[in-house]
Amino acid sequence: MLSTNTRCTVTVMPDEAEIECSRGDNLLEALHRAEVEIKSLCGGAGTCGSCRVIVESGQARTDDGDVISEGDDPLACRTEVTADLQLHVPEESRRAEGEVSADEPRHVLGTVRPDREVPVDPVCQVTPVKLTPPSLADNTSDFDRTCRALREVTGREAFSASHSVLRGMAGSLRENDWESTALWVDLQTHGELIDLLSPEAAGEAYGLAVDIGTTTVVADLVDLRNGESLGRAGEYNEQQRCGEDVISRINFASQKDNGIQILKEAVTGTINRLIEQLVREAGVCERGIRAVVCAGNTTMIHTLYGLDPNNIRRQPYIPTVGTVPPLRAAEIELNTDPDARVFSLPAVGSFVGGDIVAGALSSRLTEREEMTLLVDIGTNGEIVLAAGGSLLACSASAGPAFEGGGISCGTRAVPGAVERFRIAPGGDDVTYRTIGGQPAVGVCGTGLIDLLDSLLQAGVINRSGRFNTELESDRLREADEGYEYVLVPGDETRDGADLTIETADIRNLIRSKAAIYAGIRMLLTNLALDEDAVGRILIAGGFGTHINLDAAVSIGLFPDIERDRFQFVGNSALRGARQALIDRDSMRDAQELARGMTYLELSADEQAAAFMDEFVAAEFLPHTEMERFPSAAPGDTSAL
Amino acid sequence: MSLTPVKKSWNHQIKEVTIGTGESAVTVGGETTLPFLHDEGDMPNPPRIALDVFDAVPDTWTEDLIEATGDEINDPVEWAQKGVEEWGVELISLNLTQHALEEDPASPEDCAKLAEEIAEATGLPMIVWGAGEEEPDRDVYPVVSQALSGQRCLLGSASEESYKTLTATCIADGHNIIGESPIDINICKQVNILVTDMGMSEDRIVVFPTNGALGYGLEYAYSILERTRLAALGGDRMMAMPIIIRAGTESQRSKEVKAKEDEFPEWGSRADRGIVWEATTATSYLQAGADIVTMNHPEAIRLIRQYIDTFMNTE
Repeated sequence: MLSTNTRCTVTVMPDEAEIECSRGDNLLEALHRAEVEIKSLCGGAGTCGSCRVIVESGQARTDDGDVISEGDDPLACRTEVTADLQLHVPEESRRAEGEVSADEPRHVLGTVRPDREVPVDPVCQVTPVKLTPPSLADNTSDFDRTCRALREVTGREAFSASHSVLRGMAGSLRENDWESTALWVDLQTHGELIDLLSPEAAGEAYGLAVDIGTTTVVADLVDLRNGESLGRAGEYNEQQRCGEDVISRINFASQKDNGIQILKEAVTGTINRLIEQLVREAGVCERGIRAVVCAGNTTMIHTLYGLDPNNIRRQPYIPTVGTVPPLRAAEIELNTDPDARVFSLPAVGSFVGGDIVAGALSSRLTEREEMTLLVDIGTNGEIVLAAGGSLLACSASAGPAFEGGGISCGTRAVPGAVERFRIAPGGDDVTYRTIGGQPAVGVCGTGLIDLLDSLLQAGVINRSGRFNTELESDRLREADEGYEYVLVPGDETRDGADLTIETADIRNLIRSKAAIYAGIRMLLTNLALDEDAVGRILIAGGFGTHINLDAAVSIGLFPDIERDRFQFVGNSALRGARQALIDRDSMRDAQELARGMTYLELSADEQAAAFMDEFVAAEFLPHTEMERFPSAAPGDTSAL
Repeated sequence: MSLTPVKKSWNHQIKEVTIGTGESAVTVGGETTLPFLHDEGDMPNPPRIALDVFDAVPDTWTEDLIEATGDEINDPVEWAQKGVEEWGVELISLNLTQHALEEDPASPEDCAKLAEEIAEATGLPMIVWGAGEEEPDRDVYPVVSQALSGQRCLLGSASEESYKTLTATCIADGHNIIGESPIDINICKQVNILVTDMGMSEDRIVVFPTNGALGYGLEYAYSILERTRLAALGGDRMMAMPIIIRAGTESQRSKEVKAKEDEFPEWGSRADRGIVWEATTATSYLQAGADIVTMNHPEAIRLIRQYIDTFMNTE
């Protein structure tokens, strides 16, 4: 029943945005609807505390029915709108803004070598055909006639055609006097005709390669005729508001009404915005995009196609599909040619997805003679060991710490993020550098690695990650729980508050690095190999591009092998998707590669105990087995 | 058909740690083999028994144990002396508890005085334990340590969370240190690293991996001791410390030792149970690699002495 006062207005400061709501609306959902930037790391489960808002005037109610009034700072996800309300979304509850850096790294240790030239033989082919005009003696149908011509040119036996091609076929063939430029997609079992153009038409065919990350989505627009890149764009995955990691996204899908659809629309919405930007900048038409290849982890791919991801997180961790049959763009509502096919690179398992397969593909792991490790330092921490053509992969759930998640001072690599630290012994003297030289807003993953090492070297923390409480520095002070150390004083930060790191943050970082190193060890020990046997370590991920290698080894994130054996490969998943887009053989290779990759499930009975052992041993700086890290400089001998 | 016994030899040695000075000094460790496998390597120093002495009558002990200890239990100095004279122990394990009382705690100076008196009265090397509570212990360690300065005692315990005060004070006063870990092989080693990082010499550390009594997770603690020892003999320097185990106090916590006879008539005499439980706990850990066992019951101590003598006899 509607009464006159069921509508209320929520005013958001400092944006001065006014949101019309109904009484009883969930505040977080209302804020999202109005596109107010607000964090929601747990996806509205009420557990992470990141969506805190401050009530400036008016009233609301908690889920439990308690009244919220002026001066309270409730969690938006746990708040019901009951009346007009003015609230302030503080800086720490804001989602990091800014463009995702989509550039390939340049100024890094090691080098990013351009791929060996990939031949251009795209999944969407442009084939000019000349048909024999029909006669009473040759009364084959238009479609069979077209197929026959295509067969003669391409050697392919079987073709099908999209509905829209069939609808226009009779007219198009006759208008163009039985000459045509055929656009067809190689679906491996057969080719599918998706457009017939006039022979004079340039045969515009563009393709889109997309890396669908849990955190960010990056896309390349490619001219399929010559393989040239027409631009790259990146954006945060809109699904972030449904939870920070894949597990909270899966929970969102299963627990929220219409959760699967919301996730799907969030990710397709993100991709559509990238498409819009790319076609605008390249000056082409979005309907000219004839093929899309996506690389993403298994959960991301499920959500893209609107599939129920719930069993991914349930033992025995079974996805709905590993390899998704290519769907039409219209079926998942991507703004391209509706008949364009959307491919995704195949997954190996629930936690080793098409992104890591794409990485293995673009890194040419199967072709490498030397023993090679591919480490993707994302939330899932996928690792692949390539030895003599065989691939062994695992996923070492590192958590989002190195992406700035779950760390009180953490942030993504946005302007103002601290990316370098130097701390002099004694801990009083801290120098730092932020991205873009802006006032500090937080510490990004690269900065956190640097920071952990600097804190250890300066004797601020010990090898267990505990603060040296006898440190005589004003920067170290007691906090609500334990201690905190001031990294950047408030007069140098954007929001005016001191930027600090707490004991719990350090423990989180240590756990993350321990998970990755333990994952590497598990792959090696399963093949009875030693770290020295590794000829090359490829570090992938947008994150893995500016890391201070010495610091990363010094904290025990990576094995202590010669630094020149490390190579940063940047966004290898995106490159893999692009490669599959412009080279049909690579698409086939990816299938082979996924089939041939062995997935080591670290939570399985036979591995779990050993992994825990490795993990606990690695929860030390650099490691309990210090002798494995000879180059790590000795730590706090200066204490006391 | 003859059978050739398989012998394993190791290339590494457990570090020797000397507790005390002069004639009564006791050295533990030094093994180049798993316990008592004299055919496979050397065991130059026998495992040692330390008598637990408390600064107040332990309120959790059974009447049987209190009775077996005798009236001396009311005076820690006399108690320790009895241990030397009647039970022939070679180490005193002094447990300080009264400084951690909420009401009317003993002062650090009181604790130090007691420790000094016992050391003087017995002439034996001393092991001194804090109450396991961070703040009161932190106040007591430096004072006790200083009072016993130069006597090369074994003070404990340092944990991953709290090791700095004790380590610093042990270094300053020339004592050995006990590194404690929660039945965790990794943390055991980490504590050793943290303590040596501060400048403590590796041959001044005895590790206390923590242990339960028979029936209370003994198997797990046993496996931890065994793994520690195997790692050490395999060349892990930071694991190659002698091991101390608490057989007496842990046994006193078990139901099988405490339960009255009318509750479980089928379990037999409680007085006997107490002895057997402690002795069995001790022998198990000796077989796992313990170098020092702290014990309570005089009869259990006698049994374990016999046991050690038997197993150390190489003839």
